[in-house]
Amino acid sequence: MKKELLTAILLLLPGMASAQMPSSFDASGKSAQAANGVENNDPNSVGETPNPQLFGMELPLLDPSNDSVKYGGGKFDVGNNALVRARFEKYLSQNPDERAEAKKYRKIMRELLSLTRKYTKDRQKIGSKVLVKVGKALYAAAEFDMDNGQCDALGNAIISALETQRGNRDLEEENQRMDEEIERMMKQNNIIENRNAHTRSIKSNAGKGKTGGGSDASERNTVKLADNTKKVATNTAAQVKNDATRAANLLAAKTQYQAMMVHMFIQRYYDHAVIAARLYRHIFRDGDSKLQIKEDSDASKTFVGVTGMPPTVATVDSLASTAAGDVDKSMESVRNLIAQNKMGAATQRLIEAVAVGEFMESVCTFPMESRNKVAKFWSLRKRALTAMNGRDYGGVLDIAKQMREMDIDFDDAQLKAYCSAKMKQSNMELASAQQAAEKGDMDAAKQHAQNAAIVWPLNPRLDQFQGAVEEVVNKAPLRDEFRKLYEAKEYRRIAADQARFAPVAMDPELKEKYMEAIRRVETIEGTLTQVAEMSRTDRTMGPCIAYEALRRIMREHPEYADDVPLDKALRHYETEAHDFVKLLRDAENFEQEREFGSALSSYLRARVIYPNSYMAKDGIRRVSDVIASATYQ
Amino acid sequence: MARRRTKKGGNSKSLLIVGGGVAVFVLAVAALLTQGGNSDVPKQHDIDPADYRAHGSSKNGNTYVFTARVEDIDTIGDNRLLAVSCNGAPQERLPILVTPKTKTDVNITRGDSFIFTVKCMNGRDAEKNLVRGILVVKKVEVK
Repeated sequence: MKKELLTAILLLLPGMASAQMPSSFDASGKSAQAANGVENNDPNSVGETPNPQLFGMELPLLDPSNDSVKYGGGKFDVGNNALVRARFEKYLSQNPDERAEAKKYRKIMRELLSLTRKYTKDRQKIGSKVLVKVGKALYAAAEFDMDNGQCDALGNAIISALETQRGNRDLEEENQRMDEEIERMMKQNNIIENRNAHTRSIKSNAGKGKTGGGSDASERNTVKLADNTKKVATNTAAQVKNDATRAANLLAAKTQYQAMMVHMFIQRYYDHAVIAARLYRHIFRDGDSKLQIKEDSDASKTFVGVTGMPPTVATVDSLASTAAGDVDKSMESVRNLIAQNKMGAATQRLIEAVAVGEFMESVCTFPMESRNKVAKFWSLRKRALTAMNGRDYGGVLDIAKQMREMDIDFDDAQLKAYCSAKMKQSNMELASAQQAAEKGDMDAAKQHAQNAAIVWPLNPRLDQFQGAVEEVVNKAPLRDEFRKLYEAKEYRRIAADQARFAPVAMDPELKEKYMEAIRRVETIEGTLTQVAEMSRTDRTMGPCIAYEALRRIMREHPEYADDVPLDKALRHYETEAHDFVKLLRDAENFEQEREFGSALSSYLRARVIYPNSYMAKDGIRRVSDVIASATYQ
Repeated sequence: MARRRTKKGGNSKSLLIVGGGVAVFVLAVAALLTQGGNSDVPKQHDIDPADYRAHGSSKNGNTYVFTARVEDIDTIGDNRLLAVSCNGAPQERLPILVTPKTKTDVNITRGDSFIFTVKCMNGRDAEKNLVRGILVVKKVEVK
């Protein structure tokens, strides 16, 4: 049955061959092969343009293992096809068709199906009254826009077939008349022949006695005989012609009717196809219901595949009825799957149902709430495909997480493994690039960075790395300049031009030095700004605070002693906080000389000037411990 | 017999005079000794804290009695280090050490003034290194 359904799908999608949606991404570059959705496996078909015919090569063959369809020598991913997506998304966005008009229309169609089924089931002949009733119902249904003119076409086809047969009947009657005339003329010829024979006999006998007499009558009979013979021949020829015309008309009528019937089937108007098939034997009563399909065509294979017998009108009836039943079952399955929170399977079943039975009642009346749920999952799936095609593996994993929340059956293990592998591959390329850069092989570094970009274009570490590699590649002399400045302890010049020197941080050897130079200057400058502000706002203790802050930074970073602005600032605040500084220095000197009494006195005095002095506090603690632990005799 | 009595009476008088002389001598010696012990103590005047801060170790052996206000108390083990301020030099701080040997039954509290008797001494730390110029409190009295 799947095959039949896909028959409908593919014929539904005449523009499928031009759809632009790769089914999947292959980092090896094979995706380009399928960029138009078609994977052409026939090397001889390159450049060939299929020329679909109604019953020729247009019917697809489904490969259910991968949801792809072979058609016109190409292979299509039905699930990813742009046109299928567009139709499906349109369907999801539409409101359920619960209009009063739609209900009326469906009622008429149900009545038509019921009526035709009754006469099919009971093997009754449909009389002219019933056909008139059917015709009226068809034209009534044709008034509704959702019918799309199918009933109109069916009604017209029936009328056309009936008129053709009426014409054939006229020809048959004409032949009968000519038969009668031929018979009459044949009889007349016999009479004439008999008369002529009789005349010749009398003449023969009279010739012995006298000559002349009946020769004129004989000549007239001969002429009449020839005329009749000619007319008989003419009528016979006309009869043959009429028979041929009747046969041709009948075949044309049947072909036209069958074409319309099959067309309705492949256009997924199953109800119309069933009605047309059931009426067929009542319209063409010669008992011949074989479908006029080109042998060995896809259509022929499709219909033969169902029964194993030559396709007949009953085959169409069967296929259409089965398709309709399958769509109804699919929709029931969709409802159950949604209730079980299995959105993946529900979406797949709904795609099939919509593709096969878009115009069926069960599909048209599918509730909006359920459509929205499917639409949300479908949107995630589409985004996942887009992200995957864009090799946005991080995005794919995020979306997969959301899909897993919506679908208890959604298994993202394979997806995660794939994305993780790609991300690691990209990162490993970056690591190789870094190693190459460390060795000074900038060409190799650049190549590895490019490889990393190919594998994972949105790798967050890529832009920075690649840009920096290119900078270093293009500006190798920068490193030499940086080294010279660093060795000369010109940290402030490095910091002042840090943006220009930033690429040297790519080099592990220089990275720490670069960071150290920037950090050093920023620390000093930050401290200087801070102490200047403190000194400005507190004229009494501000200088003391500033002095201590600068002493602290000098103590923590002895290497900063080379910084001229820092040294200059320290001298400045020494002057500003002269008394405080002198006390601390005296205290330190006394401490050195082990004159702990004077040392402690000096520290205490300094603390009077600046109560929060950490230097005084530390000194007091240190000296107090010595004094208290000593013994005095 | 009478001479004997007279003789006996003369000996007793001599003994009394000698005993008295000895007593006077002992008292004189004691007085002298007492006066000799206080000979190094300067007159009671305020210690100069700035001078001590600048030349603390040079005051070694000197004893000072002064009134000061307790600004801070730092207890380290059994000892207490007081930071005190003297009259006339409120910005200066004298560090004085109160040991368990200090004679006092006074409860020393921060913010109060006391009369301190201190001696400038050198000490030794655990490694026998000198700890110079420490004012060790000998006596504390309520002002």
